[in-house]
Amino acid sequence: MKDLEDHLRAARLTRPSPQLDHRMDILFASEAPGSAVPRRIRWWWLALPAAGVAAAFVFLPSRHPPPLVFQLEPQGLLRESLLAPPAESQTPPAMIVTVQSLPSTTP
Amino acid sequence: MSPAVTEILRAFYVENRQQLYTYAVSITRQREAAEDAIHQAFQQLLRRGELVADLRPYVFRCVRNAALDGLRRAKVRGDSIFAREPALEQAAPAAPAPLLAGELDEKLDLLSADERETIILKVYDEFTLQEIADIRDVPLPTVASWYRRGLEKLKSLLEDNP
Repeated sequence: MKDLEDHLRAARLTRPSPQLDHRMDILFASEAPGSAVPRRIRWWWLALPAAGVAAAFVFLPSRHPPPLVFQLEPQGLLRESLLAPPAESQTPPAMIVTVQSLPSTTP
Repeated sequence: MSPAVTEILRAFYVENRQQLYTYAVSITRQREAAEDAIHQAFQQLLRRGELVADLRPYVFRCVRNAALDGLRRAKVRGDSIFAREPALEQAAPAAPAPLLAGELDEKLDLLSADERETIILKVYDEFTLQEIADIRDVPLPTVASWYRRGLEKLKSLLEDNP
């Protein structure tokens, strides 16, 4: 059996092609410390902008227009009842508020 | 990815490329498929980014798995439901790549896959039978039996038709 093993060892083997070495060189170079960005990090970099956009939607406050505040100065009976209500009065004065829609001024 | 891991794997490839290739061809019987298996195995090792203490059997096992995966994929691809291009249909299938120059390749091809693989790992890749058992994940006596039977068959084939 030893002779047969020696016979096998003496046989000439086919060799890998130069293309394999080339492919392996590219593979190792892409992961080497000198390469611009390792492959794994490149994937993270692609994911970062998408994560940023998603975070902006979630965390940034929505930009609604500020609320409009109307100040109306009370007149007549309403003013009296609010500022100096008579102690003997039993029933509040009638208060009528009429709201009229105005044409919009925004374009 | 640790730069050390990349450098270790690169040095390992340079030192073992012939043995890895011989082993991969013995499984795939196609040069291109064998080279694909080696490339794929190292790609996965680099992606994992960590190595085991006993690197040599580990890498050979990875190459073996990649080669077997390639064979399985090739079989699946062969069962396409779509008609192939007429030119491809008529083309002769690629001849198996010769593992060894000369008549030894034909003789080795007559052995079982287990016997052939064990002889390749023992004779050309210089693994011990215990290491081969670890790579193949089978008991040592099984590997020893494959090796002994394979050599006996090979010797008989060479004596019958030298």
